[in-house]
Amino acid sequence: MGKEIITNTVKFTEHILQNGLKVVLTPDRTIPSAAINLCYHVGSKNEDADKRGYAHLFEHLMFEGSKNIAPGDYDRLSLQKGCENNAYTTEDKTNYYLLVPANELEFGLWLESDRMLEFSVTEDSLKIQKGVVIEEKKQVFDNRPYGSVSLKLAPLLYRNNSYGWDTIGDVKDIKKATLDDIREFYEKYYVPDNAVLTIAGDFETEKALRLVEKYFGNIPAGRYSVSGLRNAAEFSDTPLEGETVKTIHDDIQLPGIFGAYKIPKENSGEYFAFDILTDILSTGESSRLYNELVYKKQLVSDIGCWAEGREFSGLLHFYAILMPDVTIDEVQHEIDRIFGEASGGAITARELEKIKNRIETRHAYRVQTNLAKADMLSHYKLFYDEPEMINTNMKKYSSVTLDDIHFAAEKYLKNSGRVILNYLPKP
Amino acid sequence: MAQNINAQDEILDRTRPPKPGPPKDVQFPDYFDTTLPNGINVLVIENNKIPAVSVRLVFKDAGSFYDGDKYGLASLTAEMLTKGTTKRSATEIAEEIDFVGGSINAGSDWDGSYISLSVLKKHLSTGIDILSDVAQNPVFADDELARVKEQRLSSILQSKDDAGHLSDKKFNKVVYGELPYSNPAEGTEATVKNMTSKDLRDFYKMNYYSGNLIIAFVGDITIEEALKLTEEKFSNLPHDGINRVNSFRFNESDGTTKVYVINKAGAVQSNLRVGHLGIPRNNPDYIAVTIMNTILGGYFGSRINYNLREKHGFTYGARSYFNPHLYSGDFSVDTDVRNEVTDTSITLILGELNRMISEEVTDEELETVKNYMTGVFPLQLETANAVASRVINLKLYNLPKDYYSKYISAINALTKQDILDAAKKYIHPENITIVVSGDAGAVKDKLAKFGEVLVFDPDGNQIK
Repeated sequence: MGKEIITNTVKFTEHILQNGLKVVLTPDRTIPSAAINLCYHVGSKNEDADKRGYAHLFEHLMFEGSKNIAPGDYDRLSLQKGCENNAYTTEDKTNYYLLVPANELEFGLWLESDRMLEFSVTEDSLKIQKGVVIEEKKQVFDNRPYGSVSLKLAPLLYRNNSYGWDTIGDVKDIKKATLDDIREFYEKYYVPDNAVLTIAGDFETEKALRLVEKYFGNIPAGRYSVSGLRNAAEFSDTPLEGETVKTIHDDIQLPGIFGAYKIPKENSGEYFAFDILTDILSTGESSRLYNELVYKKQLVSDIGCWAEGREFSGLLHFYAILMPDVTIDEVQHEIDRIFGEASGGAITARELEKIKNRIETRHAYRVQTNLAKADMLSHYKLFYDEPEMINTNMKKYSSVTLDDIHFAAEKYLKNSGRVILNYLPKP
Repeated sequence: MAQNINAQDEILDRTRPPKPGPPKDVQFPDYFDTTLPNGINVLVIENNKIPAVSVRLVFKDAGSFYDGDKYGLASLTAEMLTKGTTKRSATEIAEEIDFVGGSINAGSDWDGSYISLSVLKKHLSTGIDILSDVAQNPVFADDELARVKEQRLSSILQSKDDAGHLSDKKFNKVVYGELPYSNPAEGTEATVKNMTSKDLRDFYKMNYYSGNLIIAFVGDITIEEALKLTEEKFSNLPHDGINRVNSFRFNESDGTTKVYVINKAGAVQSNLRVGHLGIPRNNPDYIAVTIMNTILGGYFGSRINYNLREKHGFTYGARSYFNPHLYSGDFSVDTDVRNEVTDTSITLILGELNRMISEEVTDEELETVKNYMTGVFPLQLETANAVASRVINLKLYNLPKDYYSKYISAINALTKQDILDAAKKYIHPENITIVVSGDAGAVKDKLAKFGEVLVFDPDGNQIK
């Protein structure tokens, strides 16, 4: 057995197979069901600049058949067995999950392991899934009000590295993807030593471990050691210089402001401070941005900010949707005033305590489901080799002080570069 | 630290799925259910997995259905509950509940009005004080209403950007005809502008009373605590509200198919609704209809999604829904497809509707959906709040108490003939309404083959 970690909340064990696959198991008998979460350390930041969107296209293709699973059978069989499945791709990871009835755990591991074992996608599937992904881009980005924000922000925020494009990628790159490109991507990244498997739910640890070993144990390790962007040193990034402001004309009724600053990466000390600061500024109707700009001054109908942590970078996003007849300048001025006060040390002890209470509540509700627990454990294991962060993160939040917030804001917001997109209705 | 495990050398047959273990019975969790002399229906769904409590107040049959000609009345009334009471200002309510890390949300839908509290157990008394205050002592102040109205007007303006919203609005208007479900629950620019605090006060008086109130206590709380809190905190509502006699006329189609196009010049996809009236939630065929619809378009593995997405790559996804309310419901196929295949997609959808009513589904289709529904049922019971939503639905829609304990066996008893019967009875391709939000210039001409084409702007004005 691996080490047993006992905390007041989520208990789990950690294991590693000979081929390098990392395994986290967390039994929970609440319902007769289990979440199988397989997280690969590959995302859009691993793409070449002329192959934008391949990680996400690949996510779609992983449902199109493997060595022993015919095209269409991944979904067909999983539904037949009473399972729910899905996947998502970020800049840093590609995450697959399968929710199985407790008595079909072995089926789930069989199904999931086959697509780590051998790639078998046909030209036909590739063609169809290119079409699906292109429609996904239209539905989620192109045909939605303000939908192009992330597509336009990325290249302005990251000028010299692969965070410089959105995960959805570029239609012309997607159209030219060949099976060889896809196979190369698979052989490089879809290997056991580049993944974490977490199972959460109704099982006995010993039995589940034997099944994991049975289906994943003899998958060969990667042919080459996984290369490319394994640590921050290989990933060059430069701070933002000055302010970049762009105006975008869109099919919208009301103007909007969408901006971002660069902040330290996820799990850094400053990141926790920013996570708290952005909650203080915009979570709940008593937050500074909501209370002052939505409620008191009625300048905006919607406003918010949040910290986004990535493997090698972080962003503080902010946005506002304006009320009719209000100007962009007026709102930007107010946002800058409120951010300026935060950077100047104006946040109070009561605000800090309030958000710590909020985070405690949020954490309690987050660890309720197998799926959410498995997702978090995989994430913390994959990026930090520390799944116990699911329990210990709370301590990191509680130890953030007013000074931490003040200094982080002063260093990364005040006089720092930023990117702003002003969305205006088409004339 | 983590240990190494040796690979086993046993021969592994990966060519076929391994056999399942013995199935585990899924029991719908027990819950407490009583009605007090003052009419309040108290439900307790106890679960101490996490140290948190939700308290959900549900006013039955007290939603947008009763807006009358003041569209938006129910939802504005609910939204204003947290904007000031005889004891607390809007700012104080927000500050007090935010400070303990909790949340209070009020809202309405067609069939009810709701106020819910989520809070850690240790802050329950603070949370319930505020909940009790906003439910029983709202003041509907003019200055606060003015703010909420400006917000609502801005959101109505913004909704004109959203193709799906435009489609829903037109579809409901056409399909429900004279039923209130045809109206916009969020209101229109005109109705919201004219709304007064007296309108809200009147709606509140008629619809928020203990005789139609359900209080569900969910999570880390005992029956004794729940009953005590109900008595202490929710005894000030009047017992009775309005005495209702519902009379309404169901829409009758003229038997022709019409195509309604809402023009969004430059749109790169067409958002589609293809459907007609459906069924109310307590229709005795509801489970058969659900299973039939799941095969048709209700899940990823359905015929419609397979055809449009997996076979043709026309869309990111396509689904069909029976959307039930208390007194009626609607049925629609919803998808977003690229402009050039708008008409082809409608043809494929109509083809699937016709196939559904003319031949039995296959054994594999029926067995798959039965297994799927059985398999995912536990996921719907994983959190106390998910269980509570189901229990509340039983009450809201007057369903039998054993509905969920018999749910799986009712599904498994269905035959291919039952599915065909449900399809024939509730799907009517000959009497269909088609709504397309998209670039009229690019898609309109090819739609005439389905019926008369009428084009509208996003404000609802017909364009000749």
